[in-house]
Amino acid sequence: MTDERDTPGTDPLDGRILAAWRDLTPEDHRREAPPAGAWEGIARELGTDGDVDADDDAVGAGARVTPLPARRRRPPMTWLAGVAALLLVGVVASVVLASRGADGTVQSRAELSSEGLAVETRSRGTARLVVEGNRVRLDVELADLPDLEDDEVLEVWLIDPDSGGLQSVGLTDGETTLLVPSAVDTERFSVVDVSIEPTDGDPAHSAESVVRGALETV
Amino acid sequence: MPAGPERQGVSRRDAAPDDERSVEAAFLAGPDGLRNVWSAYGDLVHTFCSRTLDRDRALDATQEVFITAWRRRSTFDPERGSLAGWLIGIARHKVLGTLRTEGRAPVPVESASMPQGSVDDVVDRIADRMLVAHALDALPERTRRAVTLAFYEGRTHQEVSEVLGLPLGTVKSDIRRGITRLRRTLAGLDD
Repeated sequence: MTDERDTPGTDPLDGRILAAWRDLTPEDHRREAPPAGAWEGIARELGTDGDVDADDDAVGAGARVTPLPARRRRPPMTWLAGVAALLLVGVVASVVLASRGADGTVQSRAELSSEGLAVETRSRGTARLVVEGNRVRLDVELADLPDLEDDEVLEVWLIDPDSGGLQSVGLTDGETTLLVPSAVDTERFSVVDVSIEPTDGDPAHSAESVVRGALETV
Repeated sequence: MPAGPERQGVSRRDAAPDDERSVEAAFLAGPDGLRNVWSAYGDLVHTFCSRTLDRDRALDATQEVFITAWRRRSTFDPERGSLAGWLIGIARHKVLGTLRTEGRAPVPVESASMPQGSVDDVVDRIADRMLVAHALDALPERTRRAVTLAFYEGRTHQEVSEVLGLPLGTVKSDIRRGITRLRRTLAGLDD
């Protein structure tokens, strides 16, 4: 090792570079070209006129989006209908609850953050568990959310930290009021989690959490 | 990860070879640029995805990387790191998202030196190794030999000069250029 400039150790990346370099195999130099038609699929997805607004949060807005080649999986229409119905329920619930104003008693509150989660963005938010008569609702407000692909949605979950059990509460666009089913024990399911979910028809959690936080009694 | 301190006023962007800079400039300039990016880096991204996912999902992920890159191109900063690294960074997130969604482990590569560890570790190491290989392959032969002796073997500039039979000033320039390009390539991965 020398003490001259531009030698290993003078940049934070040097350790990683050297470790990777020492582990290099012929495989790492090999390149496998994508199959024919791959580029055309990208061009079709973005719109051939190339007028996609790169800074538009509504991903794909302004583009003439057409499906990728048939090999690309798309969610079944039944699932999309389910999403639409769930969103409609959420909208109706929001409207109904909004019409009641801010009634109810805040039972617990969670500060949501991306800390410790493997996600690119640093999102944040709050979730409030509100009891109103015999109803329980979860008011979720999120900020600094990641851009979603056009086949992704945000889903709100309640987690039992002891068992790891999950209950889906519904979908959110960043500011949502969701009804918590009465069968859900909110004492047990005391952690709020919001994840990015692909619209692939799989009801399981994607493991791509955006924010998470524990409900604390107010 | 922020770029490290620049040396002698040379920015990371200026340290990139001409062809790399022209692809990056075209990418930022307008809609025709993505086609150039695909030509330059489609193989790299597809190979990375193919080493961690099965064939169909690798192609899906590859296409999604370029679609995402186009839609988020305003976030690419050539002063911080390379476009190749930035694209592999996007691919890394796509691959990990796919693996987590499906609860699968990465498809093992043929090499017996497949690193062991968590899924994230495996994917990260493949990304790092492929980017280092990419950077080394793009260096001129003389630069690659100089930087290998200095960086990989830890030799002094004077020793490199003697081994290669080149003037000390030439060796120093080659080493600086080679190391800067290696760092720039990996720096884009963490943006």
